[in-house]
Amino acid sequence: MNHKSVPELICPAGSYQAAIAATENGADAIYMGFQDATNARHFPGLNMNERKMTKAIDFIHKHRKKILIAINTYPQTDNFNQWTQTIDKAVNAGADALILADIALMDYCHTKYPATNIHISVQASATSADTINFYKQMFDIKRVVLPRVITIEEIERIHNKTDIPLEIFGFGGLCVMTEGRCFLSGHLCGDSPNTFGACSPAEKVKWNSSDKGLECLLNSHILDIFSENDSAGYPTPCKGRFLMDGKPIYPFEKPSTLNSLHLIPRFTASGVSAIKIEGRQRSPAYVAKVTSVWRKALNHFADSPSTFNIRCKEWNSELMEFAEGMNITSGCYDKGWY
Amino acid sequence: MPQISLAPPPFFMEKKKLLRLYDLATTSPIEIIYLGETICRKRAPLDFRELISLAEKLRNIGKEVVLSSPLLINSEQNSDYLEKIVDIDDFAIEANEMTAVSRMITRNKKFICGNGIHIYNNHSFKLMTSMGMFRWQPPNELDLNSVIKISGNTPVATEITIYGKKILAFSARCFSAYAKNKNRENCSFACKNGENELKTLDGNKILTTNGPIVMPTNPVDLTSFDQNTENNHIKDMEILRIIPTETEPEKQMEIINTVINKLQ
Repeated sequence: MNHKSVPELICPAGSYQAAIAATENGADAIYMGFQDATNARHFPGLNMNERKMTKAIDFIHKHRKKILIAINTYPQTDNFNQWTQTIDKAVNAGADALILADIALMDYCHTKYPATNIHISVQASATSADTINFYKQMFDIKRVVLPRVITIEEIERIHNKTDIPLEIFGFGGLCVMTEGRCFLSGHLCGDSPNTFGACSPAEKVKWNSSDKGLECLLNSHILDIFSENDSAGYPTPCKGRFLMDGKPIYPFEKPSTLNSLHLIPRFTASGVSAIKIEGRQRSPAYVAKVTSVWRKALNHFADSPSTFNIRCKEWNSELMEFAEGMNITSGCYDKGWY
Repeated sequence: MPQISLAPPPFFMEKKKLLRLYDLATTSPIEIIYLGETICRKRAPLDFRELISLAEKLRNIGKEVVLSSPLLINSEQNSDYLEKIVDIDDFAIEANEMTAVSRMITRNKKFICGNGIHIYNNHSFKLMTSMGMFRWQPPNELDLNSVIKISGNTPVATEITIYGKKILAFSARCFSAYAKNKNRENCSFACKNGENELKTLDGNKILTTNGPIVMPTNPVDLTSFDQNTENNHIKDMEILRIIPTETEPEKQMEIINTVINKLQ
């Protein structure tokens, strides 16, 4: 049973199997995307076609959970219709909310489907109460996903100045840069996350065994070389290792995973309405495990807040197997990080 | 011939040198000057009163002055500074993220959309125009063909960067401080020491950082597209922007003059 006094748990599904795993392991809502550039996880073999999407929605709704469909990239003038048609598809398929970033798409959705809930995507880079209230006034939005550059103190300040529910990232890949405004991958490989829908797209990533170790390259730029003992992370530019004054360092962030499970009490007190697990590109096993651990933690906090901290260590150790480079960080929620 | 504009320096610049740069700019062909620290409030070389008096001085000698809003509003300090500049009626505002846009709309004022505003298609362009945008800079990753498709034949002026390092990314984390095992709170102004150049592990220059921003190693230089068809598009733009690349004012003016000479 899930509790109303704690934030909702929002889990990723890049496949039908992952949608089932999220549903069965305690997600309150599952977010998904179609198989094209209309969402920010445009990777081969990922996401769902209309048939699979309908099937997944059917399953999720039978279990009385919600479906959020991400249409959170930016259409360009020539392909704008592809994005509006995707909104049509998502609404017709029965999505409970659409996660949007482009204001023209919000306008389209709000005008054509006034009853459809709009969530502001993290890709829209909304970082203030004024911005959120502006979207509310313009497009009657129902929720905003905050970028991973906002501290807990800021979340609190934003919450005090808006009645729009706030969703934050709790676990998974950590965007080091302000989401929606990062052109690093696009600069290095030509395909932009904002328009193509992928950071370090799979077809531009190469792994090369050399005498120095396992080289990972993005479009011929070496982003890191891993030795046998390293646990290699997915090569995004912000987790790359580069030479600064001749020394190899991680100038932005080590390969690491965001985990803020221990902050559930702070988030709840700061007015966070929903916590999102990143990872539509991850396996159903990842989704099942991470969802179940977070469900346990949220339920425990609701039932017995005084013993929450004691149990954190145990839950965190369960999550460790999914940590990139075996490093865990609380990112911007940790004062020393920024 | 398009107008030439000068962007605020995207790196730390001492007050004395900054004022010297604007002093030199008074006699240059630059027509539009964007003022204000947009990256980090902590290092802002001018306080608010100094900023406004500089803006007035430049306006009085015939320059168009625009106040640039912060790149990211993620602190009370940034938010308060933004509040001060949007309340000023004497100068136009360059909105570099949506808080600035929303505050200008609330005040029923027209505004310039900086390249941080997500305008990727002519629908969002028209929407933003209807809300008060009178000039725009396309997102840094868009090519000129896409730009023309978006803004087409409208009275809204398009401003593109002709020279300088366009910001590729920025974080809440200060990378200058991080490189010194410090953070934003105890940074000791690590950004004062200039850019940290990054090379790939096989020794190729790839990126450079200063403060919380990441930039390309080499500045974009559209003046070198001499025989290129893109050059025709450049002349169609209303405003061509130069982003400072040098902390020495005299050196910076030399670059500006070279860029302008190439255009003529």
